[in-house]
Amino acid sequence: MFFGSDLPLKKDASARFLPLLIGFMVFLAALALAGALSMNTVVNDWRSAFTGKLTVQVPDDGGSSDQIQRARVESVVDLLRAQGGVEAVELLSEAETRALIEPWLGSGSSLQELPLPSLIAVTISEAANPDLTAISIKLQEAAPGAVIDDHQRWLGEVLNNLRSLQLMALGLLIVVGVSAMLAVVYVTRTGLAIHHEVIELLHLIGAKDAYVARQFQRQALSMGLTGGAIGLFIAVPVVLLIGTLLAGGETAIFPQVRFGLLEWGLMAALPVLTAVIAMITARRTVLRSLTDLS
Amino acid sequence: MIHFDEVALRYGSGAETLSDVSFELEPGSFHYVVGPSGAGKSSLLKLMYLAMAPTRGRISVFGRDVADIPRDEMAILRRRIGVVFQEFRLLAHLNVFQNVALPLKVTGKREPKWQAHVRELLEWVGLGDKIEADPLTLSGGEQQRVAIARAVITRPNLIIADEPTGNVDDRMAIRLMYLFEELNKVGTTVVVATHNESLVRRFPHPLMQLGDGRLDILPPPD
Repeated sequence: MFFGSDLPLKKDASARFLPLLIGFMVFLAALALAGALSMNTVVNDWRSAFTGKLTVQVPDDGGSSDQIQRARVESVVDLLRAQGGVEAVELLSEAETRALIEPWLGSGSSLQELPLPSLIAVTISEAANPDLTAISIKLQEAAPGAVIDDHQRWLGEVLNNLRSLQLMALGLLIVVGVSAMLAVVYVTRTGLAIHHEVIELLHLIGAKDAYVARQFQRQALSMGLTGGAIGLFIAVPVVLLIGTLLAGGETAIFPQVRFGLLEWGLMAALPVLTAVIAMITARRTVLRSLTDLS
Repeated sequence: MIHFDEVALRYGSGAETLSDVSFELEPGSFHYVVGPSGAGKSSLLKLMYLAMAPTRGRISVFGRDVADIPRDEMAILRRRIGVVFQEFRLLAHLNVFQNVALPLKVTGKREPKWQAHVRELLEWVGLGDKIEADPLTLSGGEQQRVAIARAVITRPNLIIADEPTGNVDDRMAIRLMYLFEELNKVGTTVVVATHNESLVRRFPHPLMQLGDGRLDILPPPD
């Protein structure tokens, strides 16, 4: 004698349509979330990679011999080692310098023909706060044209762009969420109209509005979970496939899909969150509609 | 129990279906609502079981002015009223047991507490072998008995029945009237709208006579 719903909501056409719609919404939301989380990883990686790092470029002036250029570079290295707070100074070989550029420009023959400056990687201790202007002046004296770069300017621009992309992804999440809510409102109102006679009977035998709302919210929760599970089931392999494609590329500017427990947990929470939003939306829609009707 | 004071009811912009209806039903009373078709019997009952609000006048049920009752309290008040609808209003997607148990379910009581009670009542109205049947597979008389069982399952203080014996044979009609009589003897107020004059004579009670939208309370027929 187990009781199901007092309203035959499962037989409504919307009961078949809404889970598919929610599934599609969750699929889009999962892709947007995966994008936002991947960019977060990139932001953190880059920020930590460039904290306490300086790069000094000593350009080849074109007219000097290799010996003179080497002497200029060595004087710069000595000068840098003499600065307070400097932990390490490493002169990069030409091969290492080309390897750094390769992910951005590819490995074509044109890369071999490019004139490259000598690069010196400097590591500064965490507590140190060197005066970059003073060091820059000294560098100009030792090797005119030498440039010191703490990466903050371009890193700031790149991180700002990544943050903008993240905001766009979160904006897409919100749009998808609002669309799902509107769909639930429409389906719930349709259900109220279709079953108004049963609802009137329930009221006449003593059902409160909250009792009627529970019938709809249970159905919305069920449809939300079903649709959400379908959406996530399709989204996860797609995210993994995109991650594999990005990881196999030659350039380093694309984010990598390196998800830990937290990231996968957030992805798994999407269908549950969607179902809960659907449930609350259905409840509020029913309560508001019934109050308006009275 | 029920007090009507100068109550009128009008549907849309038409003429008043009920005009200046005033009466008071004492707790434990038994009344028939009689009158020709279209006299407003169903409308009067709808006002009594709180399905509609009057166009004008005041209605009090269980000592409460219905115009002042908040929505949720109205639901609790309705639980004290058992209604047998003329068109039965059984839910086609629920079986007989579930239809009868519905008024108990909406109160939030747990099923094990009332399962035996529902079975017992269905046995009493002769539907013990149709407990799991789909209402649409039942005859008109059987559906009417399901509707009556649903109306009395909560042992309401007030039972309002619109033509409760209209679709059953004389023997079952008398049996159902005995049920109403028994409920009335234990203090339930009963209001029955009927065209069945023989039942009115066999179970004599005061009449609420409706005609031209007006109501007169008449003594039981001899």
